[in-house]
Amino acid sequence: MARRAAKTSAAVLAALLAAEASCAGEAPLLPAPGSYALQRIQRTPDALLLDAEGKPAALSLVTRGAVTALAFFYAHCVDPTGCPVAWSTFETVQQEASVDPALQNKLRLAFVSLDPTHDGPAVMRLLQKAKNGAAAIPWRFLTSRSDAELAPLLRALGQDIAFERDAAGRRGGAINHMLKVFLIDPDGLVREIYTTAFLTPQSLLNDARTLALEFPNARNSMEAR
Amino acid sequence: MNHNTRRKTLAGLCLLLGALAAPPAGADETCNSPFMAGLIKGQEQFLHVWTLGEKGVGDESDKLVTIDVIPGSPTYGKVIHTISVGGRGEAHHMGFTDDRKYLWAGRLDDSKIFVFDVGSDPAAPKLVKTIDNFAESTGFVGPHTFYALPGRMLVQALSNKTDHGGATGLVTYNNAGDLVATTPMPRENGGDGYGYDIAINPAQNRLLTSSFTGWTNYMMDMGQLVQDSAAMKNFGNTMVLWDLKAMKPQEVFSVPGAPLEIRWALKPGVDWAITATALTSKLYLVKQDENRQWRAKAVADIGDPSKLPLPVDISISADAKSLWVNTFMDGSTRLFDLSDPEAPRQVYTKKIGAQVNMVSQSWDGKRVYFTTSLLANWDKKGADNEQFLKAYAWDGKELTEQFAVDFHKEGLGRAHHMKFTARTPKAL
Repeated sequence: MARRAAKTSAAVLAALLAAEASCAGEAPLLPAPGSYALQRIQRTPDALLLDAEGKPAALSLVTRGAVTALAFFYAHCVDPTGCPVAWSTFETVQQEASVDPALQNKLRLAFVSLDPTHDGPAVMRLLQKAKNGAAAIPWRFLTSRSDAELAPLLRALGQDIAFERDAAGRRGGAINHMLKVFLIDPDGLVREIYTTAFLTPQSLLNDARTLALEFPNARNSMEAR
Repeated sequence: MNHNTRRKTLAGLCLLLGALAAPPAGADETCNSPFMAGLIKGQEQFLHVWTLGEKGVGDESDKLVTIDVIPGSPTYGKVIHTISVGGRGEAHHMGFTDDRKYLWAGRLDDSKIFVFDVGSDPAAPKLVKTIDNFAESTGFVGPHTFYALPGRMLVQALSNKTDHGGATGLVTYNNAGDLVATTPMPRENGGDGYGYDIAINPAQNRLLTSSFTGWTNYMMDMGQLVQDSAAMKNFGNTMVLWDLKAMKPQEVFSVPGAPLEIRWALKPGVDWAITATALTSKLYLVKQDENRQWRAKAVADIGDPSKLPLPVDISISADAKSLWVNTFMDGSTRLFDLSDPEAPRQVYTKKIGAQVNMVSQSWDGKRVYFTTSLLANWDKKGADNEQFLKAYAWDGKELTEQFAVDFHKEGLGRAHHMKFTARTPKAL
């Protein structure tokens, strides 16, 4: 089952990788990085997740010390307004930030699966390997042991989800969710939240540069945690 | 997949994503925040009316009234739920959180904010939180407009606790109700410090605000107010264009006569907004000129301005081709053709009642709802103080009444702001 899920995810991943990141929307007119302050929206709740090796990983250890862009996803998501937009955006951000001296050692990316049943560590390992080649910006993939263990994190961040069910109440494959990307500062505060109407690589990069200026000691190497 | 095929596939995907990423804002289904999920593009099921308690009417308390608007339902057009919040604090406007699960509702007198859970069961909203330290924690008074940002609620206040005048500000809460930031309205470079409505164009990173008046005026009896020449000078005459990301004012426009509700055109790629001025009875267009400079200019009269028809709420169609404009004094609604937003034309009018304030239309524009109360001390007196919700069908030519709820006969109070919900809103 896990092997089949991994193959399915690999196929989806391949399709996603085929979509070049250049199709992100036109950039809004943004103020210069550092010329504005992002609001301190809320503290990022901690949660015990699983890393790509299947080892317990506190979310705070993934986000602490760096500027982190975090999104929730699931590997077989095909909602064109959901995960594919996050994928496309993160790919562009990873590429551009990796050659940007202001960000290349300060920004981390993190995807957390909404579907621990199907997205086990093997799937996370596959995705993490695919997305951490030559790029300087690390992109971590995390899952959890169960829906129940993930639920408090989703509630605390306001990441609303609903499982698709058939007439008999049996759960289907789709997980309806509103795409949200959270930009977290090195102290663990959520400083911006992006939804579909607001998410572009340019706006995320602009805000990440603003936080990088605010936190000159931020470092994205995992040793710096 | 060869290179050309892949390019075509990508182009198709980009078009799809681009279309879906267009600002989804919308009529009172279209006037919601573009950051809000689950626009109801089909049939709304429940209509919630934030209702002012009225002395001698029912329990006399402010309340959230829920009405079944599902055609064919045994309780269609009937009140199916009420929840009183206690006291009379000048209930006014409401707004959904970004996930459309919670409805924030404000009171202009005591500045309380009530948060209702409308996601668990929209037929029976539950009060889950009351913010009762708005004035103390922000210095502002009169939380008026509630506008969803991702994970946050942006609130436009009308007044301040120091002098109860019109100088005020914007307040940001997170969705848990924790105060995040306060931002004063500009009082320099032409700014008068006043506030009223909020409207955001995410693609332009632009926020527009308008300006009304302070607590002293909006709590004064209207008959007394219009005789008070000094008080009548204390109305807003500006709109402000903000850099949304930075929350910094960029331009202050002169818009005399209390510009109220603001609606951005929802048509993708069209970046203009429209507002109505209450005291000068004009439609103003906010748009970039040929030099890409933002300007506000009067583009039409609403009725006969010399007769002070008092334009109040407006509602723009999803295709930005038409605009409903209510005029309180004659109790009428007017439809303007916005095909040329530089020259709107009134093409239809209908008397709704002795007084009319709010208007809300469905996304497809086929259903239009009206309520009556403006402010407790500004509503008409005696027999003209009609308080109702009326639902109409619009076929493009005529408004046809579908049902009416008499808020006095039902013991409810003064009917003010309306919001729609549905049990299974279709996510975009």
